[in-house]
Amino acid sequence: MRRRHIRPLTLAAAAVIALVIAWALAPGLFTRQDPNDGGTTAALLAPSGAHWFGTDEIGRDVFARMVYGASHSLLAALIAVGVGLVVGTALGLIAGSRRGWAEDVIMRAVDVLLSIPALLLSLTIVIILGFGTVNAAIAVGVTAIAQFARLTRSQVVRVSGAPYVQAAYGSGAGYGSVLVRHIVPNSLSPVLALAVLQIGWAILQISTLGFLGYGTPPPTPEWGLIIAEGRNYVATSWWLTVFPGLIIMIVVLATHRLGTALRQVSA
Amino acid sequence: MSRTRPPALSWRYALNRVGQALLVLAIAFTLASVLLAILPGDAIMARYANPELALSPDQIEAIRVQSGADRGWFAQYLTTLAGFLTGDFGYSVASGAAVSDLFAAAVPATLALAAVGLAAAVLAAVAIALLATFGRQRWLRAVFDAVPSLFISVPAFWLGIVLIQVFSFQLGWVSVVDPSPAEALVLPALTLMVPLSAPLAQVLIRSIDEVRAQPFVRVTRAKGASDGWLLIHAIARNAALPALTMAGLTFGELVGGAVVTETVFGRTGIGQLTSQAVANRDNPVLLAVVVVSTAAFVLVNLAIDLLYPVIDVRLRTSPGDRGAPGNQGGHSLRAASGQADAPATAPADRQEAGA
Repeated sequence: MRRRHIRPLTLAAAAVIALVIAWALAPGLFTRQDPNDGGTTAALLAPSGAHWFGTDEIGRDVFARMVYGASHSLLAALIAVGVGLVVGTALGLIAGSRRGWAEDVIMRAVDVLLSIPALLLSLTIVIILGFGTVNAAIAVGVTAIAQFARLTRSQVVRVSGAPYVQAAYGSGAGYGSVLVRHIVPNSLSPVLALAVLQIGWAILQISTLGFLGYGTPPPTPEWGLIIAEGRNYVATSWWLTVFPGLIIMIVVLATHRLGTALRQVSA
Repeated sequence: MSRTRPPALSWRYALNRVGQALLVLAIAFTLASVLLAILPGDAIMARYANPELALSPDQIEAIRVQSGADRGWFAQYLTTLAGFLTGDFGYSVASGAAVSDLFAAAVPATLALAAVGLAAAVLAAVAIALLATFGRQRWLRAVFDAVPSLFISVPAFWLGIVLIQVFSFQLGWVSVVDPSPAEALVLPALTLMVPLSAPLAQVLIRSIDEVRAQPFVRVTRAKGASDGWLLIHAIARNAALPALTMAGLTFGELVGGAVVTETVFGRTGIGQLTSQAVANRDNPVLLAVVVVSTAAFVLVNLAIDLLYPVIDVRLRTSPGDRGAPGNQGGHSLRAASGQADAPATAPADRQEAGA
């Protein structure tokens, strides 16, 4: 019953992601407004044909800021997921294939990472590294390590017990070649599906850090920061916060949908 | 192993579980204190000299000696540890106040927010799950089935702002200026409710679906049981356990949610203390927040794990006696994450629910 509804929604999700990637790569194609300079445009204009999402307190076009902001938010999300994916997968691979004390140590470390509330773990990293786009992204990435490590480990354990892996050992293959040829390729697809799923989550976390003021400094149009700036005009200019939030929500929803679809395929 | 009598095994399980929790706590404390207090120790001490704090040289020297900044890192670590064990969390760099005093002032407001937010989240999750599984129309079930993934995609800080916009400025229902304590709690609790209810609802939907597919449910139904009877007698009991596990795991979300919510609504509390601490680079305050929240998370989940066999008779034998205790009932979450990964410790994937 639920499967039947998935395909058109998944296509729509893919279209949303494609559009946002296009925003990030070539923002100039989607808006002719300057994201950082309002010029002579009147401040706090309500949404109209000329300014789809209205203008902010210094006349900057909010839609243009969102379009140009896509590259910051997506890049930060990719860095975050990259950190989680690379470190987490490496740890999971070691834990799953080496077993013994290495596994114990790594899985205990993973438990520790999971037991510190995610936002607090990010804030700890941010306070050590300092504020900024890349540091916020790394901070979010660290909170994703544990999950990748767990999934990779359980995949490696599952694949290692499979008859074809035993057969490879039996026919004389060494540990290293079995790991590279059989275990890694067969463990990785659910891990990659998780990575897609995590991108939406990373966008949310990074915009939260941006909103709190620990991420990209102004006037860069980072998505969370745009909402933080619009917050002061909440009583009069609803468009400064409502539209950017809706965009974030739709993008996150789309990556979730896509990640879930990929996971069903890979499972 | 299976020869031993179950009570002995279950004691061993409990002790093992307590030991693991203590180990995780000890490592988390060590990690946090090294990162936040010991490595940047001199930088922190230097900031006590800030004239705005109006600390006399004697007071600064007293803090130096008390925090052990004049000694080696291991001595500092032991001092910090002894302090945390006795409820002395050091001093704020930003205000010079004792962190434990700041905590005492902030905790009640956050507890009230968290309790109301969590209660609302549980009610919302149950309502969403029931509508998504027992809804009369197919479209109704489809809509509520999609609600958790919608809820999990909403930026909480944005939701808070939109709620203020709609209910305070447009409709004028909730006063912004000088509201009563109960009135001031409504919108923040709603903001907290949304991200918390999503994973709970998702787990409930999944386990209700699973329990309903069990043969015993079909038999009971064939004997003439109604939806309502089934819900109370069979499904609620089986679906409650995974939901309880998820509730424990969302504790981390609760802390993160408090930081965001209190910042958006300008409420005093641990969350606001945290965001100010980060803005001011006030490491001692952040260290205390991290250590106390982590301890609370670990203890809550330890309590839930130890409660499991009390609630569910089938789990009173040790996990080692039977491959996956969840396979005949509703413990799929535990079977899927806990059993397959680290035995017993099982704070299941944070984002498991986000899927």
